[in-house]
Amino acid sequence: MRALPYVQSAEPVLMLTGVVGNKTVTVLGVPLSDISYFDIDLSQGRLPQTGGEAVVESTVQAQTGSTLTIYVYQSSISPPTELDVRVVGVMSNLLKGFIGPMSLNLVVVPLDWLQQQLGVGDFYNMVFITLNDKSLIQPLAQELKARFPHAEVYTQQSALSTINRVFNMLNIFFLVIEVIAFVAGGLTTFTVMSITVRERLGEVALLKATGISGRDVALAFLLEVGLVGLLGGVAGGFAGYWGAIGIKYVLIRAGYNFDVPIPFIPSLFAMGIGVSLAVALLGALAPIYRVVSLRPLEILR
Amino acid sequence: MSEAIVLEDVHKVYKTPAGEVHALRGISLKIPRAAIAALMGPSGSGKTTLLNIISTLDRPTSGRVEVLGEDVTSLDEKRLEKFRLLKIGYLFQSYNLVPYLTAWQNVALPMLAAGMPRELARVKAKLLLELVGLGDAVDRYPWQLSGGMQQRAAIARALANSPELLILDEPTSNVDLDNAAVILGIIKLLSEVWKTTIVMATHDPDVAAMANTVYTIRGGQIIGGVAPRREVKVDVERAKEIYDKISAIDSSWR
Repeated sequence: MRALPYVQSAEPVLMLTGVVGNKTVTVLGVPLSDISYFDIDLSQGRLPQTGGEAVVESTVQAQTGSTLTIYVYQSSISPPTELDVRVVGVMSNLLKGFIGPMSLNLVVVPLDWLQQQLGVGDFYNMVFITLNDKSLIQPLAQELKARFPHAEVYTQQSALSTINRVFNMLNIFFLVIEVIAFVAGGLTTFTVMSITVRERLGEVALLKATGISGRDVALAFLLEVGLVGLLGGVAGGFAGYWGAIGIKYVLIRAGYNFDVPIPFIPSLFAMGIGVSLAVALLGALAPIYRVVSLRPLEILR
Repeated sequence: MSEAIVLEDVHKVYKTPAGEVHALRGISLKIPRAAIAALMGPSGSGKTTLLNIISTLDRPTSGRVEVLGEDVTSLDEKRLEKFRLLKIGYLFQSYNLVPYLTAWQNVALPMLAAGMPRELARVKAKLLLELVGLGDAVDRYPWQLSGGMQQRAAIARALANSPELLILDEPTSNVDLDNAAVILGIIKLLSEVWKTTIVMATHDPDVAAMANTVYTIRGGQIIGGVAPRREVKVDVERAKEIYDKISAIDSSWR
C-alpha cells in the first residue's frame, strides 16, 4: 500500500477493548513513529517513547506516573490478557464528552509492544491511510471494498456525514421538544387565562361599567400576563441552566462520562425570555379578547 | 330646573328560550338636575333594567332616552364608554371593588382611565374617601374593610370623575344601620352641595323617603310617584370644604 505513488502514509493500528477497574477502555496500539498524532491533545506529561508506556484520555481518570492494569480482550470467548502500563501522559477528551457515556476512554500504547504482549505477531486490525490526492479517496475505498469484502472501509467524508447525520437527528429531536414545549406552553396559558378571566368576570364588568374601555381592560390583563411570562422566562432560563448543571453532576457521580460544557449564553437566555413572553401573550389573547368584547351587562346577567 | 333624565315611551324586551320577557312597558319620566329619584318595586318589576338603561349600560328596545342632554340611544359603544366614564357614577349591589387594589387605588382607577395625572388622582381619591368617612382607610385593601366600608369606598369610586349623574343600585342593602345612615348622609350631601342628580333603586322605604320623587314600578310600568317624607341631617359645611378642593383639582387639569 505504501508503495503506491498516491499514498502518503498507511499506518497499521491495533484497536482492542479492555477493562480498567470497572471502566471499559479502548486500547490503541499505534506505531511509535506515528504516536505524535496525539501530541495536539496532550494536556499533561508526554507521549510514550518505549514499550510499557501509555498516554491516556482524561476520562480514564489516571494520573501521570501511575500504573494501570488493563485486562485486554482479543475475542469474546478467550480470557483477557493482563497488561501493566505506566501512564506518562494525559490527553484531553477527544470527543469532548459530546456523546457522553460512549466516550472511547483511549489508552494509547506502542504497537509493537502491544503485539508482543498479546503474542499476536505483527497482527493489526485497522489501517489509517492518507492520500496525496483527495479525488482518489472514493476510487481507493471502492477498490479496498472489492479486494477485502469483509473489511469495513471508512473515508473522512463518510465519517463526517455520519457525524452530520447524528447532529441533524439531534437538531430534529430538539426541534420537536421545542415545538411540544411551545404548544404545551401556549395551551397552558390559554387554559389558565380562560379560567382567570372567567373568575374575574365581575371585575371586568365593573371596570367596563365604570367606563374603562375594553382596550384598557385588555391592556391591563395583557400587562399582567406579560409580567408573568417575563418572570416565567427568567425563572425557566435559570432553572434550565442550573438544572443542566445538576443533571451533568448527577450523571458524572453515577459513573457516566458526561463532561459536556454548559456555558451561560446571554443571547440564548434573552431569546428564551422573549419566547416565553410571546407564548404567554399569544396564549392569553383569545380569552382576554372574548371577555372584554362582552358588554358589562352580558357579564353580570 | 332643566331635566337630567328624560325617558319617552321606553320599552325593553328580553328574548329568552322560554319566549319574550317584557321588562319595561312604555316608561316615560323626567328627572330634574340635582334631584334625588328613587325607584321602588318588588323583585323583577323592572327597577334594575330601568337603572341600566338610564346609566347607558343597556339599550332600550324602543323609545327615547336622554341623559344629561344627550340622546344616548344614538351613541355608539365607544362614545357610550366615554360618556359613562366622565358623566355617570354607578354603584352596583356587588362586584364593587377590585380586590388587589387599595381603597385609594380603586377610587383613582376611573380618574386614571380619564387621563388625570396620577398625583392629582391620588389626592382626589383621598379627599373622596374622606368625604365618605374613610379618611383613615385609604391604604387598606377591600378585604380589610367591612361590608359597609366597602360600599362607602365604592360610592367614592363612583364619584371619581365628579359625575353629574349617580346611579345607585340598592345602596344600603348589604350594610348595617350605622353604615346605611352614613350612606344616606352622603347621598343628601351630593345632591345639596355637589348638585349631583341621583337615581337609586331600593327596597327600603326609609331610603326612598329621602328622595324628591319616588317612582313605584310594577310589571315594567310606573304606577305612581310620591313626594318625600323624611329629612336627613348632614354636615354641609365639611362637604362644601371637600367639594371646593375637588373642584380645584378638576379645574386644574381638565
